[in-house]
Amino acid sequence: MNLVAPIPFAEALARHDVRQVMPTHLSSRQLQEIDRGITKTSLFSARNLMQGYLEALKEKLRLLISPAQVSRPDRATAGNPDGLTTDGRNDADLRVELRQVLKEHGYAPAPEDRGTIKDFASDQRLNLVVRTNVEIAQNYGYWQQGQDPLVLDAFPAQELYRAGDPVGKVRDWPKRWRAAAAAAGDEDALRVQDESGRMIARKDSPIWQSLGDGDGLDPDEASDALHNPYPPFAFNSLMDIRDIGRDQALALGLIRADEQVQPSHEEFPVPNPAEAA
Amino acid sequence: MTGIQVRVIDQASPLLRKLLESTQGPGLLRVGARGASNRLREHFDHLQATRPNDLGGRRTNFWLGVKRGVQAPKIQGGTATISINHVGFRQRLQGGIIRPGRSVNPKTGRPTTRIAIPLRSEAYGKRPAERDDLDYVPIENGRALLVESAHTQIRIGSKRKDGSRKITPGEERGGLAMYLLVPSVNQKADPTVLPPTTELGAAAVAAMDSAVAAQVARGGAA
Repeated sequence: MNLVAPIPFAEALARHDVRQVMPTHLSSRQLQEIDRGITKTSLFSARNLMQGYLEALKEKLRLLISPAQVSRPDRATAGNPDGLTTDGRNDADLRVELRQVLKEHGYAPAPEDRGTIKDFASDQRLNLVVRTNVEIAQNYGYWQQGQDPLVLDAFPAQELYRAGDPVGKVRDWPKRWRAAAAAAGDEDALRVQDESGRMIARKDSPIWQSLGDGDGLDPDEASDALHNPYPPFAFNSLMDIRDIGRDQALALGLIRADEQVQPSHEEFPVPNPAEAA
Repeated sequence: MTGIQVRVIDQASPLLRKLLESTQGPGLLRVGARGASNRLREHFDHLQATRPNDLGGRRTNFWLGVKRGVQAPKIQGGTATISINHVGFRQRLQGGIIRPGRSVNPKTGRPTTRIAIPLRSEAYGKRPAERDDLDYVPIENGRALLVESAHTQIRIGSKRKDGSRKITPGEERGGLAMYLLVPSVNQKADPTVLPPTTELGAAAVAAMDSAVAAQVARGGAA
């Protein structure tokens, strides 16, 4: 195994960069009622009208989505003569920097909101904002790279599974899966769930968008939907997707041997890094 | 963060070798890189499940973050590079000395001069700069402690009709050492944060074989 220089996560950055900053006085619930073509291409935070803060947020998130490699003379050593070092951030770094930006904008929460999700400077709020936006970008990147026709031949299906302990609200994902499958008309997904307990579907199934939209759920349950056909499918859920190989997809009856699963596309144009290069 | 290249030609069947050398090579390499990437992601899921932080603090989900930074973007000259775009991963893999100065202390506006090692679960995953109740206590040899200053927590209630608010005193705290500050840290290398090269190669070859099988089933060129 050779370790070499990393390459920027271009697809993830493209997904992030296409979003326009959108200050808003609307609540989370009210934002759900806006056309998702707008919310999916906007960077916003409920009831946050600080344009300067949102612009700083957008810029700083890039360093988490795809850290850059920079040359620093003070880091030069015999083994690293160019002083190559990673210019990236972790969640704690971003919390510190974003709180500083809020302070510079004169922000102070209402006393009764201090430390709660309504406080823009609280751990809870900052973690939610940072994690959600980073995960949307990176998961889009993985999903997009999986739409290559030959990759789809090798991995025509994917599985929804729990990758980490949920933060806060615990949701019934098997129920959400069932509702999305019914709404999308994906009987194979329902059958596989019944037979195996696993949540697996073809990559080109409309179930993934239905899952992202919270289809088939009551309005309260669906209020945390993020409207993407890739994770996160809801705030703080820590549910993820993983590729399912051709042999397993055949065994599950999800594809025929002579069938080619077609690439899926995001609802709005995201610049193709390969074409931009 | 780091890029990874794995040699797969030796594990490939004669047919696959022939295809890799043909015009289909780049496309198949992309499939192989996806296969190896998936094996990496599976490995990081395993680390997430089996390596919680030693202090038992609230999880930062470090390994999930590493997993999400895995991508297989580039085919160049017959080689696929898998990239792990996460700050901190290469340090875990190769070890070495960690020095301060990357971050800025918001209180001073200058680069940090010490590495802060959390000593209690509530300090884990948080930078000292996120608190304003820490006292600096020097020890020796450039080391120091950040200790929770004495204070009483209070809760401020909602505004009443007369405009006043209820203040409820809470816990009295203070004196606990939250962080140890050191000039640098020498971290051991940990090669187990990557799966064995053979497994990555096998996953790459299996993925390429699947793609070829799909094309053959459709009567495609192979």
